[in-house]
Amino acid sequence: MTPMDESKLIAAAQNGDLPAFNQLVLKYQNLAFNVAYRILGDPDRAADATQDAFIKAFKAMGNFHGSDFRPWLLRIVTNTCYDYLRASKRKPTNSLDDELEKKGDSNPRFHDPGEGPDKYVERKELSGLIQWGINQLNDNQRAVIVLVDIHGLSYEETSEVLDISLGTVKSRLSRARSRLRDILQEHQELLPEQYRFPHRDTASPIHS
Amino acid sequence: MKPPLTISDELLSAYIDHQIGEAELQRVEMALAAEPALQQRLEALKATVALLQQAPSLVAPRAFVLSENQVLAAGGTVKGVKQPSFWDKWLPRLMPAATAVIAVLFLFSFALTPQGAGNLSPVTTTQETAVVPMARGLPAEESQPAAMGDDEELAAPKSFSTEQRGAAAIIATDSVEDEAKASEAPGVATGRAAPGGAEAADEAEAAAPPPETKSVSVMAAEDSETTAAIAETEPHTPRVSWVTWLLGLLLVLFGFLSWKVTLGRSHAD
Repeated sequence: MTPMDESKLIAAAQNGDLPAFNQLVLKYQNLAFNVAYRILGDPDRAADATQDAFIKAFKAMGNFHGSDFRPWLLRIVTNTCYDYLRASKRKPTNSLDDELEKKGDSNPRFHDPGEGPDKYVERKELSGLIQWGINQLNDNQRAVIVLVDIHGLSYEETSEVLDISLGTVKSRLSRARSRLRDILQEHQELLPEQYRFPHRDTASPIHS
Repeated sequence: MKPPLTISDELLSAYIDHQIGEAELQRVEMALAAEPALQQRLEALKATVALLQQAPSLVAPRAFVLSENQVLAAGGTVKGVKQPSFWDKWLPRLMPAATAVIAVLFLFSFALTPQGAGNLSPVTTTQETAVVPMARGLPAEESQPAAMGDDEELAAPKSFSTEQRGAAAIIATDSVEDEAKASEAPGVATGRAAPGGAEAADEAEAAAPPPETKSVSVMAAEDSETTAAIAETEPHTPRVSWVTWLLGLLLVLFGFLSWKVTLGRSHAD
């Protein structure tokens, strides 16, 4: 889909054209679902949040006046995820073992690049470990690290999506990375060889 | 010995993303060259970022395309699709509630009506008290003291059986006959009893010669005739107020409409 096609679809969707909006849904649904999954940490709730976010987006199409649809949509997705996180504040987070042993409907499916079963299992375990680490962060840190490090958004885009200043993006991101580094260092025997951290010098001070 | 340069993780994080200015860049690189521990911190942060960038991408478990019903249910509008009106939206919810309210009102109305469900006996209180004045030829108000006085048996309680009420009516009929006889007696000017009719009747009875004594068989025959006459003249249907009738009709109407609306919704779903 070319940018010209997308702008036509956006214009049509702004006039209430549902099939045009659904073309945009098909283009962005994987991105939206992945962001929701990494923030919420649960595939079922992520699916619900993604669906809710698309409904909100369609209703709010009249308010979209920018040129870039992606950050606008991701803003709605992250806000919906915040609502879900607030609603489930009292629920305990999963343990690492739970995260690594998810089965059945709660087990997310990964894109298959044609790898063997061993590699697939390795990727699945890596994903579970990353997700468990992300789940240990607070809500604001989660959103920033998911957008910047997992989905590759720039600081400016992240600032626009989360409606925060660039300085706040930097500080939240650095705190999230430092916290995650510490968590993963404690469980680095679970990491694949190439991702294991260099030996930690306990004498060195860490300025966070 | 030089003091260690204070390089925060925030600065290191921005350094990884090339988001720092020229002056800070030089400061970080100088510190990294001077401090192996800082170099380790940087490597650990870089490994964390690299790990996150390798996080596997997930497949959406389903297509999230929207249907018209989803959008309309969420209060949105779709081009070419009529927006449901206020009544389309609220009628299916209001109808069952309205039916329930009418049902409650109907039951209350039925229970509170004196002739309602609480008293389904064929002869009502009004009918009972009306027997005496009609028989005596008196207005009902005037006959009340008499009914409570020497004719106590006429003011039968509601719980009396039909036979008992029949007997009360027979006594009243006898009283009429007595009065008629008394009016024919010399010394009595009027055949119509004055207020406090029972006393007047007693006086008339005292003035008149004693009535002829009827045989048991004749009295039994009269009893059965009078009872039959009362049974014919007084219908066995309870009297229900017009409010109760109206509520009953509304209940039937709303119940039917609720059923239709609910049926329509389930078909739409």
